Amino acid sequence: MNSSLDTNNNVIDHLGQLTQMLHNCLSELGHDQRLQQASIGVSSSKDGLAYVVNKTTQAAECSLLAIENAKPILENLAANATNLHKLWHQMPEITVTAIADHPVLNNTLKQTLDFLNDIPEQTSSTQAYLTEIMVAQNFHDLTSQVIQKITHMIETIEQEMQQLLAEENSTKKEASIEKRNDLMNGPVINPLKQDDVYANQEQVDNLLTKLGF
Amino acid sequence: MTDKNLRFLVVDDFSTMRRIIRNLLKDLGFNNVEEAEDGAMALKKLRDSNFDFVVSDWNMPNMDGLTMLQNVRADSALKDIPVLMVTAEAKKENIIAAAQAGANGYIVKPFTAATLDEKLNKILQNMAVHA
Repeated sequence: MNSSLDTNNNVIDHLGQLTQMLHNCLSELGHDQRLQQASIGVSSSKDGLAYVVNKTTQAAECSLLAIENAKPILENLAANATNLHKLWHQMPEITVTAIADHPVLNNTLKQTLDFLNDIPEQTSSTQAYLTEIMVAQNFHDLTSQVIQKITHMIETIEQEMQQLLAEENSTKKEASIEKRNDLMNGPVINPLKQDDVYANQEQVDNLLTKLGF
Repeated sequence: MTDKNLRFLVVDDFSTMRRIIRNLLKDLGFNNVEEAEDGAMALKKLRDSNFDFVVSDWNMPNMDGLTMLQNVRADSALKDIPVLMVTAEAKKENIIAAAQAGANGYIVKPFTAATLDEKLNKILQNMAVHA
């Protein structure tokens, strides 16, 4: 425990020295202005990410609303078709015979009944497609979580740059290394680059089974 | 035959995700669904009224899903409510921690309607067996 604390302190000291060196170099080379420009760049990239979050939120909400509105229309369509189909089958025998006597009318009726009969199946496949579109909107949750993390990182960099710009003695400041919460990492961006992640449901299920849950 | 009147609490800080899960539950015939946007609000709702099932995210502000689950299991009035975790957290430690804390299922995001259906039914069947 103590040795890892010592190592940490050494790293922090080292980082402090490096920062001081960087700071001195920048001042000597007159790079303060460039730093200011970079700082503006950092700030505008933050705005860019906020824009992405905003637009994807709108798009996801718009899609969900459209799907929620479309589903009852399909349900009604199927119910009405089934009902109409049933009504035709309840026609008195005499009407059926009369229609059967007119080949054109009879043919049209047959086509209409087939059409009505097919509607529920077609609306139910459409419903399934709508469900797929709806579930696909979970991209919004995942991408926003990733963007939130990046934005947080940019804010930290931004603060550091501003402090550097303020020409304070940066060695005095202790680098505040935020403790990484190992259980809140957000979505897996690249499963091949991360060990120990179970990014698909089958892997999760296998692990739980293996552990006896 | 599952009781379609089961009362669900969907816990997620993203309204889009709550809405997706709510709609999927509706497709499965469950219309009695409430929402909470973090673990703390969920616990309050769970303590204030009766729920039969919790579907929860992990990474949320104020109180995360694991802490909420631990609180639920530690509360004598709530401890038996099934909790299904639906989260983007996909590390081995996460899955083990959730299972050890007493999660009834673990779904990793992004998920499909079929996965939710399957996990939900598995839990409901277990409930029926132990009822």
